[in-house]
Amino acid sequence: MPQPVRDPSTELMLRVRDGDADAFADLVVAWQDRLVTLFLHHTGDHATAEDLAQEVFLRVYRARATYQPTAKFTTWVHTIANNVASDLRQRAYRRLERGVPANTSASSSAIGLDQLAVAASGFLPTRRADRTELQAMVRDAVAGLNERQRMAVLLAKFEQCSYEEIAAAMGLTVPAVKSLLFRARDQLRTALEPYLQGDRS
Amino acid sequence: MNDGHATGPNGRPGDASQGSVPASDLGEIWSALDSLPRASASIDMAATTIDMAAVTTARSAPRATLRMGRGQPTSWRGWLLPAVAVAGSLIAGIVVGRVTVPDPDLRILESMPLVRHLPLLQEAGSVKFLQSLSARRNQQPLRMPPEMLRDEGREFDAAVADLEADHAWGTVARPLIDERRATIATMAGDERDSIERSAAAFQELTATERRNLATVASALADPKRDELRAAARLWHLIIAASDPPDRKNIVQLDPESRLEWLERRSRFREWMGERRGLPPGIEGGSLPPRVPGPGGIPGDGRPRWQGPRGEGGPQGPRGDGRSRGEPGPRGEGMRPEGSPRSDRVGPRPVEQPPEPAHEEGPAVAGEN
Repeated sequence: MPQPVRDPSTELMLRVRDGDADAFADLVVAWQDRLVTLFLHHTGDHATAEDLAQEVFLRVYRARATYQPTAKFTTWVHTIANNVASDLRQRAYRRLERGVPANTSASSSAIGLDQLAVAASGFLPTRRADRTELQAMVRDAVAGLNERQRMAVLLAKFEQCSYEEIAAAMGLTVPAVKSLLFRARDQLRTALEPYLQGDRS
Repeated sequence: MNDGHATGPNGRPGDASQGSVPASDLGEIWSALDSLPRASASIDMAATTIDMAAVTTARSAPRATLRMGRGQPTSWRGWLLPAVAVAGSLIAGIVVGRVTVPDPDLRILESMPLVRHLPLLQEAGSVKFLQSLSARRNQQPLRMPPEMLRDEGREFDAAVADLEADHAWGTVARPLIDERRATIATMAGDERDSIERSAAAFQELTATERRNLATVASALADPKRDELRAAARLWHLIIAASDPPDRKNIVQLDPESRLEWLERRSRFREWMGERRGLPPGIEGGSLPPRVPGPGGIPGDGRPRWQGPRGEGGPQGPRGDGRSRGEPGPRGEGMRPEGSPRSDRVGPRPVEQPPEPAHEEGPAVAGEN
């Protein structure tokens, strides 16, 4: 079935472009949970996730006059979200250069894969991890990915994006996205395999 | 495990028809990601986002006007038509904006108790900090004049009473908004300037910071939470008793750092008390760590002379190769604890044997 050219969010955005404040409110309500989820798993901190989601909405609002419905609104928002996440990373680098400690909750790749594997193996001998432990393991494993891998995985998993949509949002080619996700999968497997083996046994 | 990063649908309708290749086929590992929870935005996030968008609109308008003014033709015929068009657009934009975009002033009025007591609430920091401070024991007496202590305490009590009397923020009924607007209209110039400064600062805050302020304000406005009020009052007095240049830095610390700062301050004061309790002239012993300032600056910020070669350098603290406590050429090195001072003026106490302080070098005590 062909994808409709204008999804509901695109329709809302067109109304925002035309000065309809209620449409902007509807857009925020429709998208806030999705963006907060995306940024929560990207940064690991709920408050930071809300701030970043707000930044996305503000950029959408500031750029409303130039919005053209040539692409899906979803892709446009994902592009902005990727830019906001990228800006966060650059700010963290600048802080490091100035010797200011970065926010640990938003740190990336803080946990080495070896550590993760060792931690995961702790689940092997005796017990099956409950959901909370699984969440913690997966969260740490995702945090162990680099920024771009993590964003690609989150867009694919939580936003159900195709390779093409991820490529458009992140400014990459489709082969580059495939490669990115392939490496991400390998890293996730390295980190989580001990747990998954234990779970199967 | 399916190694299908090149193929494999994610089950989303429409992908195949678009010819796009789904990205979510990562097999078992992918399924594990399902355990990650979906997050929900806080209840006031949408409201604060719309509010911030409204503020953004209000701020961007003057800049746009300035940019429009640059590089225009000098002939009035050249710029008159664009200027009229720009002015017309601006007026239309303002009119439409006022009609459609939430009024930032209204948001400020809704949050007026938070705005009015913004410095106090920022000073209090967070409920978590107040709880930690409340649980902390062995508070040391505050060193400030009693009348100043009383005035600062009264000021704090008045602010808390004000919060208790008007603790409606968020979505506020229209009559209360009108009442607040009328109150501001009757304020004296200084007071209104202060409110305007606080309102500007309040608008700069993120949604998270505003929520935190509201939580602190709710706690302080609740008469049942005496322990938090007492902790906030104590902290207010501690801040008032601190050096004015340090206050801003102290307030900006996170709860853990604030408690660490208090701990260092207590240790320093204890050490100072011990030092004062010792008989005069007793020197030596290891110094406790200096009280670091809130910005990580060691000591009280005053420069300290490090000696010509640096204290503890290869030549010793005095640059003559002797270390602290080692007798000098005149026997003026450090004495054992309890030994008499060599430079004491007046007759030697009877119970002190008339012998030199040190065996090496000439006796100093005999100089009197």
